[in-house]
Amino acid sequence: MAAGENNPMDALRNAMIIGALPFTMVMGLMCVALAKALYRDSHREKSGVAAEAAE
Amino acid sequence: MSIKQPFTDLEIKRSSDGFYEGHSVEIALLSKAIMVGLVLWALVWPANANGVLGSLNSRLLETFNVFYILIVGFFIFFLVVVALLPGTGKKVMGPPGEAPEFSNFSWFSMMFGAGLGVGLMVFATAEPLGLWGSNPVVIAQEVAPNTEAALQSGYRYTFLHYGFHAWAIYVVTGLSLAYYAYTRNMPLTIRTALTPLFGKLLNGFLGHVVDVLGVVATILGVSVTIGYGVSQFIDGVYAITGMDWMMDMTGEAPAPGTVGLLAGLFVIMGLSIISAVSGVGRGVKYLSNLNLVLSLILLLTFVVFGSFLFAMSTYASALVDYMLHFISLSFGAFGPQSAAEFAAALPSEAAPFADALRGGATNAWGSFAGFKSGLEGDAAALPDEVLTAAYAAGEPARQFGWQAGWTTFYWAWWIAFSPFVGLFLARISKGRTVREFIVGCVFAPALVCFAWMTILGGTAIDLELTGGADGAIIGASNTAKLFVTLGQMIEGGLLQGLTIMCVVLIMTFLVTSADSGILVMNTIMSGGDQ
Repeated sequence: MAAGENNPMDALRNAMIIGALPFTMVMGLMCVALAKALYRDSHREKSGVAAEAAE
Repeated sequence: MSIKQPFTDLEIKRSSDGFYEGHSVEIALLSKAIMVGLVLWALVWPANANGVLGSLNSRLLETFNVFYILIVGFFIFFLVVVALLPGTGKKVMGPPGEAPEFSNFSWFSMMFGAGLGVGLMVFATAEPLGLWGSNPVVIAQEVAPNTEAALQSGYRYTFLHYGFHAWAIYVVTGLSLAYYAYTRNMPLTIRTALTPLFGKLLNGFLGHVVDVLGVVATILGVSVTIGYGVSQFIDGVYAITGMDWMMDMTGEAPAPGTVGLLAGLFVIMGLSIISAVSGVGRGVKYLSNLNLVLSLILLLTFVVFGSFLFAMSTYASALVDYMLHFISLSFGAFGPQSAAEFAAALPSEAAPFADALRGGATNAWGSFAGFKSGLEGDAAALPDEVLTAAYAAGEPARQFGWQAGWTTFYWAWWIAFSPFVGLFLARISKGRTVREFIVGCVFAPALVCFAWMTILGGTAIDLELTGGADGAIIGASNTAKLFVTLGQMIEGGLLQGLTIMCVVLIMTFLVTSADSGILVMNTIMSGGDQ
């Protein structure tokens, strides 16, 4: 398997590790985006509730 | 002070007529151009493609191996925090007051269906056995490979590769997609997940790039899976029929040859087209149910005829061991060791021979005995304790080589699969809370994977340890290990029947993977339209 046997899977496996790298970075950004969205949404909810209560 | 409303105005232009009707032409064309280019290159100049990809990969991993390991470690801890915080964990993904779309039972069974796949057929025996023979603890020379002492560390890394981290990778993508789709009514596609950061920039070229990266990763991930699956399929057909035109007999153990692989690929492609033409939705659903039933029969066979007690005690002790080492497994990343660093770590007697010693001492797939026998001339004449110290000096390099070739390969595989599995998890999880989604999709399926790995793999290890396998399973190629294990465990008509059943199961797994892969790529290419 990963033990470096020389077989037709090698090229495919190398291509996959290279091709997944940019998407790994996208996934890192997804976490940041999700943290931001969750944080802001909870603030939006609070200010929404506050606004309704004031009316 | 009020916070401004989130950007939800994602517009993905779709073609209204012609061949690409309903698809985003940019995403479809860009993805296809990249894939066709890659395939042509690999077919027309195979040696060149292999060499370039191989050296590019090893150069990239010198820098990015640590990145791969650390970011996956970050994913799992990020999800745990999001699930634990009451403000985020209790958030419902869906219209307020609405119950989840699927009942708990069908939610879990669909989830296991997504997780069980060709990978688990190939690696249920290959992974624990491979790690039993080579893992970081063995490389550190603390235990001898393929002994009872190596069992604990072997299963520690098996659980690492198929456990919480693997599912955390899927859930990061799945949770992002589900969250925006069900709380903000946005399209179910990759670029949606970055809207909080980049807003309307994602309506343009940047959005296409993000989606294309997802499609390319998915295609590569599915290709690797199909590659493993087809070779196991050929191994199985060979075990039943003994047709050796399919096999390459030149190696130590017979392995599927090029002709056999092409024939297998042809059969699988044909079946996949038939099932797609017969109505994708119905065909895939029918096959998924068949997969689940056949997998259960296979598992039960191992429970009855295999080493169930051994498997259960391994499960319990390995789970505890895995949890105890969880932090170091998550963040223990290795970088490359330079020649100068290796030379500096050598004892003074061995320093003049640094170049001759480095090759063997830094080879992650070798052993101390192999290192010694590979030496020539004056270097070979060094006293044993100097050689032992020289071998120990190469340990960081061996650890790096092992991690880059094994753990990082898995992380890349799961990441390449995460648009695929994540999209599926998002689709079935409407109306769940964030906490339910994380706990349900990270921890529950991982615990089932562990059972699969200990029951099938544990039986294979027990046959090697106490049964009469005598290295037959270890010696078999990875994709043949399941069939050799079956042959050691049972015999006669039952063996024949089960081997045929496994081949059918691999075939249906492959067809469902190919079909649902196409579905996922279509969803992304049509801008999240279902």
